[in-house]
Amino acid sequence: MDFPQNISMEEAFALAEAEAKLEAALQESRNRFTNARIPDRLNEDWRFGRPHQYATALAELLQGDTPSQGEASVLHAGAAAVPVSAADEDLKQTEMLMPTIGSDALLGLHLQRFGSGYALYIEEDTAEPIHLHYKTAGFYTPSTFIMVAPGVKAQVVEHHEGLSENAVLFATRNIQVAEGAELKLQLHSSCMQRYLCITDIQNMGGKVSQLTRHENHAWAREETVAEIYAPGSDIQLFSANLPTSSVLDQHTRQIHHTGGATSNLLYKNVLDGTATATFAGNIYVAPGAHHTDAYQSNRNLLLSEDATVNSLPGLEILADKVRCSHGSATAPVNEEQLFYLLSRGIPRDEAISLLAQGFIDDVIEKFNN
Amino acid sequence: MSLVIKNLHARVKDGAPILNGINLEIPKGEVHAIMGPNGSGKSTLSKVLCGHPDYEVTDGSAELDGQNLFAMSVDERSRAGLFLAFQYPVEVPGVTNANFMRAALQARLPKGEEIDAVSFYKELRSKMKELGMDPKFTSRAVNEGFSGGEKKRNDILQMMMLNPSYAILDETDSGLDVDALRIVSEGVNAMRAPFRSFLVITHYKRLLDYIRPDVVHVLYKGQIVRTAGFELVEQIEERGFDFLKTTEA
Amino acid sequence: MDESTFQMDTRGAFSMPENHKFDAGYGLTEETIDYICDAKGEPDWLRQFRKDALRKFNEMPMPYHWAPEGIRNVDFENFRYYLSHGATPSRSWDEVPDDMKRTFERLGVPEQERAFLAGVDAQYDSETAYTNMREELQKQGVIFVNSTEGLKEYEHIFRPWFGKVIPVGDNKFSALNHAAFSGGSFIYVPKGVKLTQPLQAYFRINSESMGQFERTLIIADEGAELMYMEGCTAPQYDSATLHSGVVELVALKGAKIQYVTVQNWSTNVYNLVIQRGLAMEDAEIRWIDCNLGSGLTMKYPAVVLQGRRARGEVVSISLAHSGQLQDTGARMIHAAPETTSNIVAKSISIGEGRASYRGEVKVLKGMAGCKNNTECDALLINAASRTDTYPAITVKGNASAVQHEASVSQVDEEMLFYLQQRGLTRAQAMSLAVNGFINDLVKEFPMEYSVELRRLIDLEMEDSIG
Repeated sequence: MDFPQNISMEEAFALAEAEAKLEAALQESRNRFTNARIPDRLNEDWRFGRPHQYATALAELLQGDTPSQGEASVLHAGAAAVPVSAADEDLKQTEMLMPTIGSDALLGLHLQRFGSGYALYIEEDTAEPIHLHYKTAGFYTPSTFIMVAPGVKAQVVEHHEGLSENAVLFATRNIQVAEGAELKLQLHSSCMQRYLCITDIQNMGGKVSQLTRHENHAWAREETVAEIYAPGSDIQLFSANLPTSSVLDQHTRQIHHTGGATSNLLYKNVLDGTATATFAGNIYVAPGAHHTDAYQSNRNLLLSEDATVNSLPGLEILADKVRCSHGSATAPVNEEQLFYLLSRGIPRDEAISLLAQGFIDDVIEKFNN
Repeated sequence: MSLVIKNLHARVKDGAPILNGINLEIPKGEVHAIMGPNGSGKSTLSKVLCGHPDYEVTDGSAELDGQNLFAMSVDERSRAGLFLAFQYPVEVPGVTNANFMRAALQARLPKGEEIDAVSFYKELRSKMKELGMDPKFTSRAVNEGFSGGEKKRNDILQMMMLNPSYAILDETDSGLDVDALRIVSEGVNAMRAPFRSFLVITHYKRLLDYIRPDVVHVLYKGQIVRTAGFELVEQIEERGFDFLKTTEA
Repeated sequence: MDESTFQMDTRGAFSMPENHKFDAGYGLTEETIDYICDAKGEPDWLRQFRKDALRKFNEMPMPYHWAPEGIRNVDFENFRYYLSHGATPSRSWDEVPDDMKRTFERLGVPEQERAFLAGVDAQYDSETAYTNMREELQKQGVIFVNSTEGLKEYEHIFRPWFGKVIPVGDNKFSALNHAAFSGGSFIYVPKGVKLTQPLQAYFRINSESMGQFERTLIIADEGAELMYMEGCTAPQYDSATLHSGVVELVALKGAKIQYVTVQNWSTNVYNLVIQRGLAMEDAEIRWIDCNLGSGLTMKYPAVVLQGRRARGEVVSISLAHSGQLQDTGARMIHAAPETTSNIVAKSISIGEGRASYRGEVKVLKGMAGCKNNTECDALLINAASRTDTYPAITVKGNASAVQHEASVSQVDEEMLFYLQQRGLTRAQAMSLAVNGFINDLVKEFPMEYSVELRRLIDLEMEDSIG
């Protein structure tokens, strides 16, 4: 390894130790990929995810000859945006170390196609939101990296768009927010035959809020891991969707490695037609991560008799002085609210769609504030 | 032209009967009050007239300007000119007051006709000002996080915007302080017109001091047991409802 | 212990010397099953049935993909599958062999029987030592016998429901129980008969490395009502003991069954139990479940709401101290319209103890007007305590409402300080706080049990904090 000039013995030791740790972690993640199986029905993280249908097909595509092809563009980023290249070992290692929620094998295959997408090194407050677009008519496997420097306030809107009926997009997102930084993040994905997005947010003492919206996919799966590494961190995760005929599979983890931090999650879905939505979330508070405040809520509004909701909120609490709770509620349109709207002369169908939109807008409003 | 209720019997779905043969006619231009002890069926009457799904009509009829009320859905009744100011207005998260009012007004326009946004907001603002409401309420979700008094005002605002020909005020005075009561009553009084009538349901005289009714009815055990002028309000205020039971016997 | 009128348990920490007439030895094979069938004098169909179940058991995988890690240590070779003194229970305590009688006397069972029970079934290792029921109930046609006798004497009632609520192949442990079952109760309450006093079963494991596989079937005919209570204890051994019972309840139209468990096994016991009830039209099944003992408990009482307007409820208390994992919860399957269910679960983790709630609520397609409400609250006593919540909810269609809320909290330090300032020890203060936490659930237990429950919790608190 190359040591920088003019450092003390202690610093050299510390550096060497850090290098050794990284090497060990990389080795471990290599093993993780070697041992990983394509998700099957014994994979609890794919419990309602129909792995034989979706994970297998995606794995076959990743292992096959179809090249990854798509268009990546960025707006309002200035010098912050750098295209990801296959030769960038640091970024590749970052992706290699990212956790998944039951999809290690798929991430391993994604790594083999590493080399497209954008890295955003945000070192100044953004005057207007940075927009990042990934579009594909075929099969595309981009990687996003967002690093927000200490004390910087940034807004990023990421768009994942399918341009044909057969579009397949498998994206990874690694997000690091430094102490005192604030990041407001939106992810809009749309119109995909198959869509998988694996996100890891590492918060080192900043504030992050993320809103995800998934529209018009035949199948979409979101895996979002939010990790807290320093006291004072705050993570807010939001999602709002109105699937009508699709399968939406959302998995989240709020991981509190250290105490004295807060995390909050609100995922709301309105289901119509033959839609199926699965939410499986977990709050993990590590031993010693005392004084943690974490909340998680999944709310579903069912509009059709052919729609299905699976809701699996979870808690794993190994620390003390913790305030944690979760809630899950699934129900049809509230009769009293509906009656109130009807009593003002609003026709039934319109009243229901107003209520459904209101159910979703509530999330967006909370994200905006 | 009037609201005519004949021999109305109703009950909670699959439950006990609550209204046991109500006869009532409210001609256009008049203000009627209904008083009565708790559990006499006052709120049930207002909900049945509007078509609340928890209740079912077992006998009798109700006509709104000659139209059979019970053949209409809840929203059709509203568009036909019937308005209910709720005793407990519901919170509707995520739906803003402005969007809600727009949708309600839009539903009253013929197909293809669009509501004019500028004049809509202008009207909304001026009516809110009349009721002493914060203009920010337009972008807040309907009744969400409102105090009891704010909810009641919001219902009166909706009434002013929708211009009904028959308005039922179901215990609008409960939960209002003196100032709010005055403001709400002034709003109602300003709307009194020969083409509009009101049915004011209340326990207390103080609302009726502001909104002076032409006719007063007393509802007891699901029937109208007494109909008279304002003097009846004073009698009740003095002697309570108990005198009804003794005179009844 | 002392002269207190009712002792559900004296911590059960004593044992009697082993004195078995029948011992099937270690491990479960076809020969073991032949041994059990011969000892019990069972018919051929049952022998075949057990052997088929054994085959299934051997074929089926362990639920490693979701079950807690601890289950990997279960070694089926190291248990003894049948230990008994004989398959015929006594109807009088005087006829019960002395060591067994002394055991149940120490546990207070005969005393409770006299005080407030309608009937008692006392199981010692593999077989029932004593069953008896008040005479007037027998006259009303109530049947209360052990499972062996039930299958022999009342085959026409028992067999049609046997394995219908929990089929052989439901999971590995149901297959195990179908192969090796012995003991447990068979209860039939005729149409319209309402029991005013509870029936009680007491499960005692005395021998080392014992595997106890009781099998209980309770049928409440139309409009019938009963409450059944079970208590469990075992002495502490170094080697593992396995308790893997199966309990099936059938509540026919308009019937009500309440099933109360107070489980206080020693910590060397694996408590892997399957309990499921079938509630028909307008019927109600309530599981009132309290888990205090055992090193690893996996137990999720279930109600299949099979008839219109059926109701199901699970009230669950669990307490885990160091060395214990209480993986408990509930399952509600809404298989008919307008069915309602309610789950209230509270757990307390002490020291390095771990309490997990695992639940499933399912509303099947086309079932309108169903409602479920679930509340899980966990209390963490120490910094090293752990709690988990793993609910799984599936709702099909737009005509049902399901709601789940869970929270994790600690005992309020301000409150402890306040109580200590008034002169209580920290353990006493903690015990008060814990009792307060579960107070509303303890009330659901019959009075005699709730007094005892509070006393047990006091003991736990003193042990861990005092």
